[in-house]
Amino acid sequence: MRFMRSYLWYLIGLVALLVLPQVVSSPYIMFLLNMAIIFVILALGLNVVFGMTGMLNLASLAFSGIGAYTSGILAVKLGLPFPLALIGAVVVAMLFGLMVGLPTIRIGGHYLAFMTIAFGEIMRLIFQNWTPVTGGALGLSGIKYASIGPLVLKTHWSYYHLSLTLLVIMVYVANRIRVSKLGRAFEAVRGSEVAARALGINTYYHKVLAFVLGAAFGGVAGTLYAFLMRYVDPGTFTFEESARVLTMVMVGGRGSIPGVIIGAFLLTFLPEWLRFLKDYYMAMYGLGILLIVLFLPGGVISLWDKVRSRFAAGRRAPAAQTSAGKR
Amino acid sequence: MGSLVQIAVNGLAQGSIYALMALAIVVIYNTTETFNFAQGEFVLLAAYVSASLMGIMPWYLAMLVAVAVIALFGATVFQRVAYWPLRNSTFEFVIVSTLGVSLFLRNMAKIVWGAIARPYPEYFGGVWRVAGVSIVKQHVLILAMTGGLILLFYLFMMKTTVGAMMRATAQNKQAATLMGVKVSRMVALTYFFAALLGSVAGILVAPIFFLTIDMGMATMTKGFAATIVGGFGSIPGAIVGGLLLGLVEAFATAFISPVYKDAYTFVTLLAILVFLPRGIFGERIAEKV
Repeated sequence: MRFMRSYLWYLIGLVALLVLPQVVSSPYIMFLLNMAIIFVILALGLNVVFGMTGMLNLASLAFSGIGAYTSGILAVKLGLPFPLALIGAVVVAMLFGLMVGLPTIRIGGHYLAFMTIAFGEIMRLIFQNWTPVTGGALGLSGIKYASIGPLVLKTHWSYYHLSLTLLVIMVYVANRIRVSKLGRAFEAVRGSEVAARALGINTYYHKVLAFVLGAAFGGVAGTLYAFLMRYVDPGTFTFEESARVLTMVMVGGRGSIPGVIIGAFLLTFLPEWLRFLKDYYMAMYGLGILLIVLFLPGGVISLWDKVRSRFAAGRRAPAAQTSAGKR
Repeated sequence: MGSLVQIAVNGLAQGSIYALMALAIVVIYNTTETFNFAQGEFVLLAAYVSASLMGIMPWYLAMLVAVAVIALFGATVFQRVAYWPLRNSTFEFVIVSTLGVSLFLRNMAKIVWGAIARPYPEYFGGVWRVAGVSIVKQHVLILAMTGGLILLFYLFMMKTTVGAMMRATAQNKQAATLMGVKVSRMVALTYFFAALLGSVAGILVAPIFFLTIDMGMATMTKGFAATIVGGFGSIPGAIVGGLLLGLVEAFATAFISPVYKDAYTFVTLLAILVFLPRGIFGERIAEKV
């Protein structure tokens, strides 16, 4: 029963996502749905690093870039199929995560945020300038349609089922991390590093591990992106896009997996919904982000908590207080 | 020899702009312990506003008005909206709120002034020839203005009572409050300086480049790189880091190839991260608890 209840909302969401392609007729909307899933995976990765462990990583897109280029190169130059390219991309992204994490995490704190900005810029410039390997400013082209066995995924609709499968796996992984001993250790580190150490948690090890796990999510997202576009453009992996992933986590509700999923979907589709504002839509998008951070610091998911606690308060006793407090 | 001087002046001028941005980032960090990701928008707004004002008044007046307006905007509306309500939250909230404001301002600027790059009036154009060396006047102006501004800032921080109050706030807010320092005023002053530094960078750099909507973001990224190179949180580090990046860029562009201009910043950054992970002036990092 407990299992049922904790997974009920995920199941409802999954059913909705399975039904959606049947009613969507525009390839552009299908493309956006695929992009939303990629952003959800990225945001889930950032949620492990930042939401759970409390380390601000402003280079999410650098890791997805590493994933995209690795899988793209494996597919174009070695002719590997999607599943092998995916594994390669995840491994390489994790190696980069380890390489960046080991020296920088020891320094820690706000400095880490600065270091990740630097790392993101460095990777962007490598993508753009290492022409023999990455294709330079022209990008990496010639990626074939993703195929699994005899199945070739040519349309955004068929590709969507691949994205959705990976999304389900990644949401499951994120949930397992969260409820495991590992996740509790991550959250202890976020709460207070000194206290976590006093409880016998090796904080350095856990922080590096969180960083590497976060990088793995980036590798998955990057591979999905490379095979969706079938072209990797160095201009994609910018600081601004990394900041967008952070915004998704904050707007959805830091630390909450359903919240992060909602945040990523919301911020992918919000600009489209605001198109009726014509020239003003990006400005209003910025204003919307500001308003959510100011007036809903717990993210969109905290609305749900508020509704639920009010409902519970009405049913039981008037003394019950709202549980959605400020962190 | 002559060309070397020319390249050095060029690099120092470009580096001064980075230094101004880095200084603004560090000043905000020291007082509020967060970053202002709308810092680049001060550059953008000052450049565009002054360009528009030049139609109705002399250039020096247009610049003065633009800088004054942007600095006041930073100290009042901007700071009250994007920072003050979130002062008790963790620093990531301010990052996201300033990112939201940055998107808003940049896209409003796009609506008002258009997305197409346009030239900025060359208010101080021309070249000086000194002993066979030609020096762009604008570069000299940038160096003089930056030097003057940094000197004034230093004198203000070190020699005046208000400066001491600002330093006290940066060190320990609670103790400063107990000593009768009004923290809200110090925060306003901090943002005033950040917006001032950003807008001066804007009017100085505009004649060298075209006016574009992305000029703020590009300048801010370099400012961040400069703070890392110089040493995080250090004011001399911000200045030295900015100048160093400018020099590296200028010399590498001249002697290696102009194609990879931005890559030189990255090589410097990488070298610094490998050999001096805390930057040139980096202190031992001790997080405030």
